[in-house]
Amino acid sequence: MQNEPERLARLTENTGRYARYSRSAGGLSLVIGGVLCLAAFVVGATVELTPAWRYALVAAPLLWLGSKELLRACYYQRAGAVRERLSTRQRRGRFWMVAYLAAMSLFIIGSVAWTAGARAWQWPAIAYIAIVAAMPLVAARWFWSIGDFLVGVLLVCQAAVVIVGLNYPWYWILIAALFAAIAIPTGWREHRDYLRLRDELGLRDATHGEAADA
Amino acid sequence: MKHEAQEAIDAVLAVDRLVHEPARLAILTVLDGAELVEFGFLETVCRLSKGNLSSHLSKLEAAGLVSIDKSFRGKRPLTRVSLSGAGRDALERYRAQIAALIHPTPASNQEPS
Repeated sequence: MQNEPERLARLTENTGRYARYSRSAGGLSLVIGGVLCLAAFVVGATVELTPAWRYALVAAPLLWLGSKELLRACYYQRAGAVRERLSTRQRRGRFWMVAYLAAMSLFIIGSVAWTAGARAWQWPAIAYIAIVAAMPLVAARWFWSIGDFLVGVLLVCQAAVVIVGLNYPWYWILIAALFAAIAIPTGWREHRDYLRLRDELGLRDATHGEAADA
Repeated sequence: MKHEAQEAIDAVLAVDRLVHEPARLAILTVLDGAELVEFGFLETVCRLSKGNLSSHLSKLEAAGLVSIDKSFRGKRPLTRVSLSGAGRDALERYRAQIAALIHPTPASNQEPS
C-alpha cells in the first residue's frame, strides 16, 4: 500500500512519456530530419543541380514528413495511439512559432508579388509561392518541437528556393550543420528513452494489431 | 482513542469506490497522463482483457469520469478514451484521501482532549 501512490504516479508519468511520441518527441524521425537537412544543404551548395537533383531536394521535406508519420504510427505508437497533452506554455510557444512563420510567409509572398508582378503567377514562381504559403500550414499540422521547426523550416525553404532554379550559398551548410547538431542528438536521446520506456511499460511485444479494440 | 479509530474508519469508507477498484484506478491513472488514449494501449498497459476493459470503461463513462469516442479506422472499430474534468477531479480527490490515510497529519494522531 505504501508503494501504490508511487507506482500510480510512475504509470501516469510513463503514459505521458509514451504520449510525447505522438507530438513533441520525434525520436529517429528527428535524426533522419537532421541528416536530410545537412545533406540537402551540402548537395544544394556543392553539386551542379540537374533537374533530378532539384526534384530530389524538393521532395526532401515530404520524405521527412512521411518518415515522421510512419515512425509514429508503425513504431513509436504501435501499441495504440496516445495523444500528448500539451502544457499551456507549450501551446503558447507553438502558437507564436506558427504565427511567426505565417507572418514571414505573407511577407515573402507579398515581396515576390510586388517585385515580380505578373511573373509571380507563372511557373516556377507559382510553385515557390505555393511552397512558401504551405509552410505555416505544414508547421501547424506536423511541427511540435523546436527540433521539428529547425529541421522542417530549413527543408521547406530549401525546396522553395531550389524549385525556381536557385540554391542557398555555401555558408548555409554551417547553419544546417548547427541545426543538425541540435536535432540528431536530441532525436537519438528520445529514441533511447523510448527503448527504456518500452521495457518499463511492457510494450516490447505489443503490435498495432493488438491495438484494435473490441 | 475510540474517536481516532472511528475517524480512520470513516476516512477509509469515504474513499470513492468507483475510483478505488484497482482496474479502474489503473485506467484513470493512465488517462491522466495523456489527452486521448486508444483502447489498445489501455488494454496492453493495464493488462486487462477486452471485455473486462470495456466493462470498466462503461462504468466510468456512466459516472461521467471518462469520455469515449467510437469510430472506425477502415473497417476496424476504434475507441478513444479521455479523462473528463469530473474524472480528473475525482482522481485528485482520491489521491488526496489515500495520501491522508497513508501519511496522517500529526493532528489526526493526537488523543482528543
